[in-house]
Amino acid sequence: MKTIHIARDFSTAPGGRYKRDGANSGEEFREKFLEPLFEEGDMSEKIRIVLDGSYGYATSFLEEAFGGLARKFGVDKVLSRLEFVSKEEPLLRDEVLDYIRKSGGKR
Amino acid sequence: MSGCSELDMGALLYILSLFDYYRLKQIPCRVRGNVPEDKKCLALLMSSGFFQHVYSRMPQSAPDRHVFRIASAALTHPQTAREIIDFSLKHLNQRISEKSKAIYRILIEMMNNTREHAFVRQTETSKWHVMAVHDDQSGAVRFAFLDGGQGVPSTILKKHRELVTRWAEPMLTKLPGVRDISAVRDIDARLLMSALQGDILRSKTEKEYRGKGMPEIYGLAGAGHVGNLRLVSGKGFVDCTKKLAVGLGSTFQGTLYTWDFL
Repeated sequence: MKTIHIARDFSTAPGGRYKRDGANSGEEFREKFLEPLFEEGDMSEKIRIVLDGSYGYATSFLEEAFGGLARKFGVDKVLSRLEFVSKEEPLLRDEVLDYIRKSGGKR
Repeated sequence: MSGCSELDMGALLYILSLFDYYRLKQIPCRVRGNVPEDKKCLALLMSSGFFQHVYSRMPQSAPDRHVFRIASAALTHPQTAREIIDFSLKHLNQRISEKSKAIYRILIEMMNNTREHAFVRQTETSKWHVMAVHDDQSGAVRFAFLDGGQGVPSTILKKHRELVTRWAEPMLTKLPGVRDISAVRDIDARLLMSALQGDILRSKTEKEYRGKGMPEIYGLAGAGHVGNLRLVSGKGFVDCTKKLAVGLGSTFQGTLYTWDFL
């Protein structure tokens, strides 16, 4: 299993939605950390996303990072591979899963 | 400002925002006058960093540890949001928590929204401005955030006129001869309150994950995590603590949020 700790590997201060909006965007995170794992390598490998340790996550960051991933690769594919850990904000996990399910990505 | 006895952070940010607007419209502007004679007002003005944002001969003053100096940008700046949270937590003697994360999230969304409310879709036109002060009497950290765009009511009306017209239908039918929602008194205040409560400000595609910034801060105010939440935009003023939404005689350019981090 691969683990991505957003605060440690990307930024403790995530930004907004798109790269054009400013630094540390959801789009930037998705392109750098998530998309490569869905484009090559073991497609059955689980990916653990640790959400703890940051200053917080804007709705737009999370939706673009994970909802955007589902729009690109499909909802079921993303749901089957990603696991979320959020001890500091337990409800955040469900929020992100909701963004994936309601992303408009194909099933 | 020599006779000034009270200086509001929102007022300072608004002046900067007006200067941005004049620059955008290429209207030459020069301000002459005196600084406040009142020591407290003068100290706040000097430590706010106001003069570093305008062309001025005023010298840079030493930082005041109770003041988070004015920060401004056109893009979302997570570094500033992080610093302002650190400033707040230090003075409140608190650690990062769900509450501080919620405020961080709101700051990022507000910065993002400034681009959505821009006069034109270019990065250099609309700016946001933010400032904070630790009030050592009350213990609270007071925030002021100004979105220098068109203002929430104007943006909602432009983007969702049909939706707003349907929403305003009950108000329109009570006013004989009134066809245009802009003519409804207090419409801006009602739109602001409605956007805060989350019942009108959804994206055109009606997807739930969008339009959460304003309802989220309203929710924090309701839960007692932030105090004295107020908004001014267009011709509307909302005081969430007093549950007051009133129309203003003049138009406020942009959107000003003020609140206390408790």
